Amino acid sequence: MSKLELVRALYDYNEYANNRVLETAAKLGVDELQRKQGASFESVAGNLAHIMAAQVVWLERWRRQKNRRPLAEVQSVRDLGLLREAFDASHADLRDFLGNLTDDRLDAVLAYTDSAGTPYERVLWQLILHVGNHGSYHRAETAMALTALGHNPGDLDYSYFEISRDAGHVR
Amino acid sequence: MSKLDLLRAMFEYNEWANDVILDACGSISEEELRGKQTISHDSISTLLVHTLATQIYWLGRWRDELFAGMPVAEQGRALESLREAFAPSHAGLRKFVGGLTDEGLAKPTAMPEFSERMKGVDLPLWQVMLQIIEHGIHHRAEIQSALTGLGHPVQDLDYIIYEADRARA
Repeated sequence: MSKLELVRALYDYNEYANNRVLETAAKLGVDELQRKQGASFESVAGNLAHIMAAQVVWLERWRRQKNRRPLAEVQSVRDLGLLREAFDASHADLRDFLGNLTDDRLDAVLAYTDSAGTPYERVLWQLILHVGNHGSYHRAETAMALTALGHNPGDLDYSYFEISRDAGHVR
Repeated sequence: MSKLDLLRAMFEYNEWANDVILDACGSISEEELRGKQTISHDSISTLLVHTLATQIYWLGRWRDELFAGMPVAEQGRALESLREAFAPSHAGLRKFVGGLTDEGLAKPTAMPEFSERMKGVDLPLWQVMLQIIEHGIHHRAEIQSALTGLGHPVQDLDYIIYEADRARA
């Protein structure tokens, strides 16, 4: 059984859960979206921007060994419409990348540099798991902030995603 | 490397991250541990119980054992009792995951009847295992946020931090 199947499932879930949170965030006013709430990146918009930027920056490292723009710049966006567009593009890029990935490539060591130009070497699957888990972590914070604002996004469990997918309710 | 290797890595990470959170909870009083929070389960204590109970419940299901009941945060020694309950859960998960085969990961696993959405649904074992991992990440994030709110920020729980720590060890 291929590990790619698990990695792809994790990212299908990541896309589904991001979209669920974005749909809930669309119910907020601009003030609420940017209200400081004690989340890692202060607000719902700040947290969403960080999740999106991590996806964008890490995918660039996986493809080109470095990111073109620093993380701080990519995650500076706060407008929900722009965030939605950036997420859509990122999800499509991730689908394309993972669709063409091989088991051998997953096991290979990737040499890359971070936003400051510091070099690292790490097995690709570790980085891919990191970004999937990173999204789950910051979505939990975002869900807390949304709930505090009166808009609970509901259960974001992976098992519910798979059940919905089996029932044909998810792409 | 197989899907099983990935799951083993994720369960090792799960144990590491739970231990980091339990250590961080040592910085707060039992009153704070049990204090009302704006998280999904009222308090840090009940959320720890929920995270642990989920691990215990599913490990029991995978081993065809009856659920022995909810773990309890004992009065006056809540954190200590939870630590004592997490330890065998982690050991049990390690043993179970260590004994699995790739073929075993495809075994259909009935979802619990107590949830209408899950009733009558079977998922392959690996998907249920991934659910436990994601579930833990979600609730640890809530606990970490609550601890930060109480003035006790927790170290970064990123998977790559764990791998870097492991590489250094």
